[in-house]
Amino acid sequence: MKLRARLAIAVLAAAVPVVIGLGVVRARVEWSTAEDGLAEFARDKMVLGGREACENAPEVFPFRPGSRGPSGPFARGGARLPRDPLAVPQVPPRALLEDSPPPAELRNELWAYGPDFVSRNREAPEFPSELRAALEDGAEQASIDWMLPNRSGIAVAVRMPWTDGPCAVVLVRRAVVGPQGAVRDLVIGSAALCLVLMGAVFLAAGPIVERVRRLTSQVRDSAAAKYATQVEVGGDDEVTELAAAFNTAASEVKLNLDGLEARESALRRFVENTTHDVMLPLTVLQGHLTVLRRRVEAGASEDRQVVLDALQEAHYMASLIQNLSAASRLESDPRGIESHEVDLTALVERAVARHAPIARAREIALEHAVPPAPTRAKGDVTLLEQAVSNLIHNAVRYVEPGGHVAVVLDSKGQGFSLRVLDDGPGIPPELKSRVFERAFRADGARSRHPGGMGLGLSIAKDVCERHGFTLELRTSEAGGAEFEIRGTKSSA
Amino acid sequence: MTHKILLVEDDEQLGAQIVAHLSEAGFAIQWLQRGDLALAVTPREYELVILDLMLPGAFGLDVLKYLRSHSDLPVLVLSAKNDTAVKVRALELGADDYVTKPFWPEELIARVSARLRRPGLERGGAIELQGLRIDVAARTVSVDGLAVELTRVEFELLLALARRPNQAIARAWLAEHVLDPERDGSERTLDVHASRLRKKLGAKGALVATVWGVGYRLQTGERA
Repeated sequence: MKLRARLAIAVLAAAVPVVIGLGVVRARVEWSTAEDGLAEFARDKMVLGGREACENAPEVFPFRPGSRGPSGPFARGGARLPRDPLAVPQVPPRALLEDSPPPAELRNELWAYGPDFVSRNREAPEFPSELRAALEDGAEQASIDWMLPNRSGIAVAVRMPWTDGPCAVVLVRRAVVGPQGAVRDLVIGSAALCLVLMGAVFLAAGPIVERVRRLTSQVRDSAAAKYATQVEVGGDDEVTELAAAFNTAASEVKLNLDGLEARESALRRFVENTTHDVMLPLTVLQGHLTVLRRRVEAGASEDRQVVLDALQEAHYMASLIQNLSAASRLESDPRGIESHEVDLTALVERAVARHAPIARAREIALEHAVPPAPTRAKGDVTLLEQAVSNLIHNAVRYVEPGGHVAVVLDSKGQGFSLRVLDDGPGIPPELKSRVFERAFRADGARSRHPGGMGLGLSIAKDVCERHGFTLELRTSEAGGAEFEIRGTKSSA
Repeated sequence: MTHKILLVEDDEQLGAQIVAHLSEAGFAIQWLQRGDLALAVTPREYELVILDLMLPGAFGLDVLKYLRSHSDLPVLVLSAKNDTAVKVRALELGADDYVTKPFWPEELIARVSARLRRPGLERGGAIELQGLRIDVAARTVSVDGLAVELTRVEFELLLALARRPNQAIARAWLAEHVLDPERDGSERTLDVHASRLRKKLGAKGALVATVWGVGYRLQTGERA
């Protein structure tokens, strides 16, 4: 529901009971005024000659038209009560009721009763029992509704200053002037009050509604601009606070959004690189297999070198995909690792077994040694195995046929040492500092086997650092490369 | 001696390849393609189980739990997902080792052999390898029945190698555990002792092989 509609309903909801309450109060006041007026009228009437007339002829009091002439007490009484806003009857009530002269409704009707509430005049109405009860309880006067066929009226019973005789109690009745008028007044009054109130409320709410609308439109613009723009913050009310709160939230959202976008674009680049990196060896593999097929079809004996190349390419691809998967895990979580108890002995045996078939095919002696007792460390077994596997793969690829690669796990006091050494060409001193860089990503020169295995060695380095291990490169005794991982054993 | 192996692998091609390669390597192999079938086997009929974790019929890890609760036969898990959580879970549930796909046939055979490998046979306090007899209690060595006089260090070196035949032992480990700590404990000294040991063993001296970059190995010709 819109603010203005809500305000209008609130105003109505508040004004209607107030107006009704005021109407009730006003009706009460009017009733009481009418009762007092009529009672005073009755007393005046009776004191100033009415009593005499009544006690003289109670059977006919008040006078019928023509019986006593126009000089009856009513004519005089009426003239003497100018302050009574209600018109004073000029003719006896019977005439009013039966002969219906036009102003009849504005006349007072007066009847006299004895102390027993019985009138000697047979024309008089029966004394209303509620009024009788009230007077018997000691009231000097009392009033009730006087229901007439088309309208309401008031009936007032008044005890006279004297207590006996046929005229000790007087009943005065009068039709109430214009009850529809009162209702109309009430309706008009309420409507006017509501209008004024609504006007005031709308005047007060207008600027707020306007500001809320402006804020809404600015928020929409900001959202459309991915929260790059802020909304304007003016004034010092709740709308201002809302605007400020939105700006805070928008900055937060923008920060997250920027991070997300950066990650997404990194991921996109990563997938593009990955596609390139995987497609290339796959193409080479297809080439090798095609050569093989042609030679076999031509009846030639299979070319050992082509088979070996195909094997190596498949091996490289498997390793590459494992590395890409490891890299994506490392990139998605810049610091952490999953840490479990890792059996380094089994890990070394698995990593060696992984590369042994290729080493054998390339006529490279791949040997390993582990201590007889299991050596354990805390870490992520997948990442550590990948790191060790990368060091072995690197050595197996660069050693010439007939060469050696050794993997040695030693347990030394609280620590362990895992060395991968070879008698290959070694790594030129000028490249040693760069060998762990992810070179083929950084410089964009994506030759396939760039200066060692850029990705593999950089992953090995990253994994070791995350585990709190060190990875060092030195020249082996045989002049080849020697990588050494050192770390702390787990106590378990 | 033929080892009986149970393979639980749902993929037709891979399963057939594994069966072919392991049979060729001399193993007797039974192949099941569904996890629920694996839940009905009698584990003690086998000496090793190769278990793929992604199976129809039952979860691989449930099969692992079943096997573990009925026996302590080695279980080698095949895992396509290179996922640490899965490996750690499998190892926790009692898997002995795992091989990640893709793998080479030789790689799998090496892992299976490693699991079935027994420590150097030591019967009645003596180790016998290809005519070489080491009496551990009496601290005597004979080659083809002829006694060979060895120094304490030479004997310890030979014993250390013979207890893990066909496995390379690191020089550093040997230097620490074999050499007399009171004397020169360097790896060069170790090489001198190894060289003397070879000469003393005569025809069997070739069994003590130097392993490049690692150390020494007692080579019996069997697959390690």
